[in-house]
Amino acid sequence: MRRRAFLTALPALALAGCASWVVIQAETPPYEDETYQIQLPPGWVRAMFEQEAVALTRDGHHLELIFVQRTPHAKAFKRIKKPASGDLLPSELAELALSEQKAADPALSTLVILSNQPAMLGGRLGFRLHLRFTTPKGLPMEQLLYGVCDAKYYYSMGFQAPSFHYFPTYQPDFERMVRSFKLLTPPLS
Amino acid sequence: MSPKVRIALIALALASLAPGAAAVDPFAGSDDLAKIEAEERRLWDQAEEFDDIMRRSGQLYEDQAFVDYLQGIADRLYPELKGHVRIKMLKSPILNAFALPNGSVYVNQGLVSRFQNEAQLATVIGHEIAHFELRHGYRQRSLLKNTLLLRAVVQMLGVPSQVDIVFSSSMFGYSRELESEADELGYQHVAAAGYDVKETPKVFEHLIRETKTSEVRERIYLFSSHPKLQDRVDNYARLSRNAPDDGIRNTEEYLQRIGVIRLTNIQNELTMGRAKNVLLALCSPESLSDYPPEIHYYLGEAYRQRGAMGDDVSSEFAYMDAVRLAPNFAPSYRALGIIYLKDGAYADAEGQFARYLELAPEAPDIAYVLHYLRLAREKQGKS
Repeated sequence: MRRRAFLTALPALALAGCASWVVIQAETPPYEDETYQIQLPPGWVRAMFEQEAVALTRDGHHLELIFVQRTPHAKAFKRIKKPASGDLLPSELAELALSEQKAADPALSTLVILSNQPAMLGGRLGFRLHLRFTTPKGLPMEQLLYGVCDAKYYYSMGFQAPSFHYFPTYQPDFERMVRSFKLLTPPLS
Repeated sequence: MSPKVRIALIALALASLAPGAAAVDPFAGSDDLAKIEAEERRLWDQAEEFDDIMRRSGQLYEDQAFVDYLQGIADRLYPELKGHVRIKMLKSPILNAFALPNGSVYVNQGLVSRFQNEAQLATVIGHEIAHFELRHGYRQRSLLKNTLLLRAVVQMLGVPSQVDIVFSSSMFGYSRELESEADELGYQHVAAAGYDVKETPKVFEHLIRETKTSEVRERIYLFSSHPKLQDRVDNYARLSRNAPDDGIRNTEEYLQRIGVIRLTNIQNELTMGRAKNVLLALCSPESLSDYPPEIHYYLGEAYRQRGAMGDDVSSEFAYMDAVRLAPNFAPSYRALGIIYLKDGAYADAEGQFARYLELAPEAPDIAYVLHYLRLAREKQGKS
């Protein structure tokens, strides 16, 4: 199958090995761009993009991958040609994120939603999706996907790893990172 | 890569599938299998590998009774190939079917869901098995002049990367000459099996309508995009022009057998954001009557997802129809509750959410609905 949806969301340049990589240290300050701030997990390695995305791994992106991405509303769900919006209810935003995942890989028939619930992200109500699928070679994988909107952007934070060992081992790192997410934009009215 | 460049690459790749393949005898069973040459043996082995990948991928439809039904159609069409052709169904809503050089024939759930009767499905199966019997996978492999280019295109289109490039013909469609051969042979078998051959062009007419509707970049996919789909319509119309229309259609049994598959397919299409395809499938009261009454909820979902002018009203009406016709189907209440919540009709929203929770207390999205219910109550000044 083609690379799974998470991976297709990432700039191919970095995954092709052309990006430079930086190890996140305990004393590394939070990552910050103009609209959000987040504490990246120590011990992970970050691919440096020019684009508005952060990608992290420890042993290689096939084994574990974390990404943080900020996308303008209009470009949030390109494959299904739907915009995000600050007016969307969290369940509607989750539905769009799920459709985007499935549209990224029409063969993703093994995708199972383990849970889908609201989640507070940076003080705003978003969603948390926990998904499971099987790779074409039969490897069970799990994904966690968080998403939230402010007035201009859709923010998504994802973690994907094989169900055996890697997912449970590194899930706490990811959840800790998500809890550190702060929006620097004014609250939605 | 820009869309124009992509289109140019695809055109180039497809152009490399030029006609003029060397003639080979049709596959004639076990004796042939023992005699095939090394190159064709390699194709068979690769096809077996592909089968193995698909089996492990979890994408094969598991209802053995239905798979047996499909196999029964294949065996009825080609009794001489019984034991050599194996039908499998993929759990994909994409409109597609293809045959591998080893006799494995894959039919997608999306395609099966769209047909109205067994005769239509038999047409597609007959066409695909004809590719196998005529050894088109072997014949056309030498025509792939620019395999690197084609590989790039195949991967770009999302075709399984494990699939060897030689199978790309199976998936993109063969040259015009080979497709016409498959039409002819497939038609003969459909007629010989006693099916109503007047149904044969309808299959492809429907596919043309649907591929024109598709909102995701799908027209270039697989079966739905065989470059000369109109040729299929023309060929089958010509072949069946003077035929009687008294053959087998098996409409009732077919619709009964695919009932669950159809509904599942509609659900899958909606989760992939293919609202326009769903609306095309459910565009008439007759087509709605093929489904259980909760289909009105999915119709409402399709309108909501499409979001064109007036779709908000259409979706609300469809949800209300669903509540009326399937009063115990919980999702319709949640959908109405969300509409009312967004419209500021908080009391109505509260009622709908409360009903949803009554009917589906264990629903996986219960946390959202509890949140919305709380919000609706707060807006009314309730604690």
